[in-house]
Order: sequence, then structure tokens, then C-alpha cells
Amino acid sequence: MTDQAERKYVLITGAASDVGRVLALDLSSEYDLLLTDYDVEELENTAKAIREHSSANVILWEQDLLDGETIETSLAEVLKDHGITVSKFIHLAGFCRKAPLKMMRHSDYNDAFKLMVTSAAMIIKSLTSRKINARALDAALLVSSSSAIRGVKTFSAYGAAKAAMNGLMRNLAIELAPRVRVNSILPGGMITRATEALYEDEAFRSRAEKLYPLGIGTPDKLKGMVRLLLSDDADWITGQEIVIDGGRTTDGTE
Amino acid sequence: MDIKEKIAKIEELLDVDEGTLTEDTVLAELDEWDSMSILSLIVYFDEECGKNISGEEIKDFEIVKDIMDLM
Repeated sequence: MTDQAERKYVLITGAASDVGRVLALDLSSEYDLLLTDYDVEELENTAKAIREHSSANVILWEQDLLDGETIETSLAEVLKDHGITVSKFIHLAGFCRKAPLKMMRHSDYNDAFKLMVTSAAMIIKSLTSRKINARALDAALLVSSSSAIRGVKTFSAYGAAKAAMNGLMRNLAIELAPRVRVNSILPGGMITRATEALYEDEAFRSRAEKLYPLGIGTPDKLKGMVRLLLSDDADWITGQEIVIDGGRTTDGTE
Repeated sequence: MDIKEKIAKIEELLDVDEGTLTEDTVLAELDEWDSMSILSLIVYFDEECGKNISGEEIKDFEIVKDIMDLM
């Protein structure tokens, strides 16, 4: 466990999701946490779980990331109110309506991009500001998806926004070097609270087992890479897309 | 825009602490005087002042007053 005085804050968006909670819990042994999610009730549960498990400071930032105009001022406020700076950022917020194209609305695409791409840019802008965050940010990690590089029916808004996150990541990696490293991870499909119902279906499950050479994934499988990319052990790694999918996208078996 | 406002704007564009700059501050001595600051000034002059100033011209600036003179 890291000495209390040396602990740095990680900001995690989408922290009430299954993946968010797993990552926040894991990182709480080393970092203090600033968490946000549109589901405030579930976010409280995440905070509670962390407080039971570790002595990390946990601060909740109430912000609707779809309300882009207020992100900068409200983040500046929460940092100022608590007298903290944030050194690491994980952008996980990624809720998106999934439907066939013929049923998709203009707003579905706008919301997907606002939540996954624009809000990430605005948050990183704030965290690299001297005034707002004393330029404390040194690592940002965008949680993209393997659907950024593979097509899936009904995933058009989600996959497009996840791919755009990687474009943002690469450009900011160059613009913000050498002070901030920016990378993304591309997880494959996993069993989470949001998807577990799908995996209860035997046909779906056995198909998934065949698709993933290393077996079906869970949020736990992301922990090691996330920790590495946030840490100084990755201090020569920036602008990279790291696929974490049990070998699925590499498999060329016919 | 008066002198104080211009200096505050430049501090914002260069992302230096408020109250760090004076008209005579030597730009080359600032850690923040880098390519991103120069790009920020190019965009500022273009969008806010309607002036097309090149990076080469900005690189020739020596002190804060050289920026202010174009604002």
C-alpha cells in the first residue's frame, strides 16, 4: 500500500459500471479516487465498497457528461472545493443506445460522441490546466472497445464513438507529450452486470467460448494493463491502442 | 483592452500563473514558451484579432510587450 502522503488521485468516469467498480477497487490500494457516473445511486455503492475495502480517499463528482458546457467549470469546482489535484484519468463512461441503423436517431450519435469523445477532451483539457489542476495530470487512459476495430450489428454509434476516442487519444498523445501520456485499451466482450443476461443463454455462451481463444473475459482481466499504463513503469508508452480480448481479434481460424 | 487585461489574456494563452508576466518578461526564459504556446497565439490572433500572424513572426518575439503590441 502506498504511503498516504504520496498518494495521487485518479479520476474515473463511468465508475458505477461493473468495470468501473472493479478498476476503482483495484486502484484504491495505490491511489485516491475521484469518481463520477450518471447513476448516482450506483456510484454511492461503488464508493461504499471502496471505503469498506481500503483507506483510500474517495470523492464523488456529480456531473452529467452529456452536459458538455458545464464539465470544465464543475470539475474545476470539485478540485478546488476538496483542495486536490488529479494525476491520472480513466475515461470509461460509454453508455450508448444500440439499435439497427434504421431505428437510430440523430441524438443517439450525438450523445455517443458527447459522452465518449467530447467529454474526454474537455476533462483532459481541465486536468492539464495550470489554473484548474496545477498541470498535475501525467497519464490518461481512454477505455475504447474492440468494436472500434470490428463491426457489430446495432453497434454503429458505439463503435464509431469508440473509434473516435482512439483518434483523440493519438492526437493528444502527441500534443501533450512529454508531460502527459495518453493511451487506450480496447477490451473485447466481457461478462459484466450489463451483459450477464446474454451469457445465461447457452447458445450465446458456447459461441462466445469458441470466439475467445483465452476464454470469456471479465472486468478483472483489465486490471493489470490499466495499472501498468497509469504507472511510471509505462513511461515510454504513449499513443497506443492495447487490445485486451483474449486473442479474439487475432484469431484467423476459419 | 488595457495593459492589465492584455497581460491576463497572455497568461491564459501561455498557461502561466496569474501575475507572473510583465511587459518586460523575456519569453525565451519561460518554460511555457513552447510550440503549443506559439500555436495558441496564432489561433488567438486569427480568431480574436483578425490578424494572420505566422509562427516565424511569433518566434521572433522577445518580450511580452511584443505580443501585446499586436493585440
